[in-house]
Amino acid sequence: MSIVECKNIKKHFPILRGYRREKVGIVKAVDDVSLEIKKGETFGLVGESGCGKTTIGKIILGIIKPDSGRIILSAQRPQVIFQDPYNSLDPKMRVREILAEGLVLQDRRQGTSLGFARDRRDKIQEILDLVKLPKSSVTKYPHEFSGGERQRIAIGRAVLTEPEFIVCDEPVSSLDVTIQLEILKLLKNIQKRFSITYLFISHDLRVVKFMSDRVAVMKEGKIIEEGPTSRIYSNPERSYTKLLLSSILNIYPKAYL
Amino acid sequence: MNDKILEVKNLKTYFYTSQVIRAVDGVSFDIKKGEVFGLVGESGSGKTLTALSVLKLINPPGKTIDGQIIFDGADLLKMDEDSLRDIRGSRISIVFQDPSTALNPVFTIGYQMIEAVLAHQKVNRVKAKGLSLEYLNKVHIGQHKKVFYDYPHQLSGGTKQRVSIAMALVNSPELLILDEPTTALDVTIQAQILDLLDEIIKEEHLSIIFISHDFGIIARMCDHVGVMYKGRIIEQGEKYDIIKNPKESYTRNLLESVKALS
Repeated sequence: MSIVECKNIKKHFPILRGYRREKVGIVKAVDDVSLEIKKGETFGLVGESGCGKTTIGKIILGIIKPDSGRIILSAQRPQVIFQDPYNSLDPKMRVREILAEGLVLQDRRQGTSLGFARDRRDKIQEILDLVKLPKSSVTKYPHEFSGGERQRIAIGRAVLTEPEFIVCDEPVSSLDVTIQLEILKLLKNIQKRFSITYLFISHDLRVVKFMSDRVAVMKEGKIIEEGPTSRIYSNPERSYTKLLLSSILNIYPKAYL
Repeated sequence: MNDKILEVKNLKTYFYTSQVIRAVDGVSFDIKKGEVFGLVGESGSGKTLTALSVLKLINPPGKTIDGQIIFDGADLLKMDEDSLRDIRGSRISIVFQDPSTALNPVFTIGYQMIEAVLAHQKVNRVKAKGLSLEYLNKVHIGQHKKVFYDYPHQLSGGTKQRVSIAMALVNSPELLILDEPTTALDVTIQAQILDLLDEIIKEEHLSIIFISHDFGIIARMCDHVGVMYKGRIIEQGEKYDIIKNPKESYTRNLLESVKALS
């Protein structure tokens, strides 16, 4: 069963110049992309900066409207985790407020009665346990945390509203390798526990390989190759995919094995 | 004995904020002529500050309070500012991580290159221009004659980094410090820049301090490696000794994270 289905989506941004904002060209950010994400899988989207990965994520979430094409999103309560936890958390809100906001909004929309502060508090404590942050974090502000801890807060906030689908947009790119591994393992645990579907966007082929069941490689707004992770990494068909893979640096060069 | 180009002994750089932060806390290493020495560690471990301390570029509230930096027989820490200025950018130069902030946005590439040449060499502008063009060509910028008249914002990240490298090389330094030179770039561009650096290291017989958080890059580029953690080099030695059998638990942890992802 598919949870996201995109058919021929296009998004072109105009390039405007001068004080009259004249259109001098277009950027084909997403150029006729079709993809399907199945329930429960992690779909990896990999490519270099500017290839349109993030735009696709935003289009699926409805943050950006595509120029043409069709998107069917059958997931309830989709969520997103952004790259930079320094920008994605409001610096003037305490962790408690950051985490509660989603619940409050959800209650308001559904008119449910989970609106009691006590119930919310219990739920927040549970989530903090899950992302392995101390209970005392609730009264702190984002600046009191390290990058890895902030990303845990962002993950907690995303998971709290019980989403069926999360767009992870470069969630570990701003973190150190040891922290990267911790966060990726956390994301995997959460996925197993709540059976969440991920769209995992990254420029780092190693990270995408670690996380994904299927991978799509993007270049200049187009998906140029798509398939199961093991096939893409062991037997790439397109020359651009081969080039990307050959650029991965291994700490054990072949000569020494 | 005299084959060492740089000896750093017990270098300490502290920052005096409300507490004392020991950013570099007793770092010692030495670099032989023609060697590529890698400094690897996570963010905040003191890699960049070690490099900046070598060039004495630490600003208050930071201060290098102890140690010796012996470059070509003289202690840089005891040198006056004028003699240091002669060394920086000519005998020791540095390439920074982010090429978009390392270049001045209001001057053309050519202007900035010529400025670097004239600061250290007694040549006229025509010669300086010739030399600048020669080095832009050496770092394989396709249209180096056009790029010479371009402003930084007109260039891609990869090209800007090539310009920074050309600028660092134009005065034929003996020691080059590369501070995460490919971190801001895409992987395919990173591969190109690393190839370029390989070529230049061989051609110019440079000694290099290569700073990176990426063990993959360090393994590809360096001969000797120092692993930094909390302001200290906790382990150093020949690259494959460290990769094959790390002694410190932190190094092991770091390598395992890299392995799990590759």
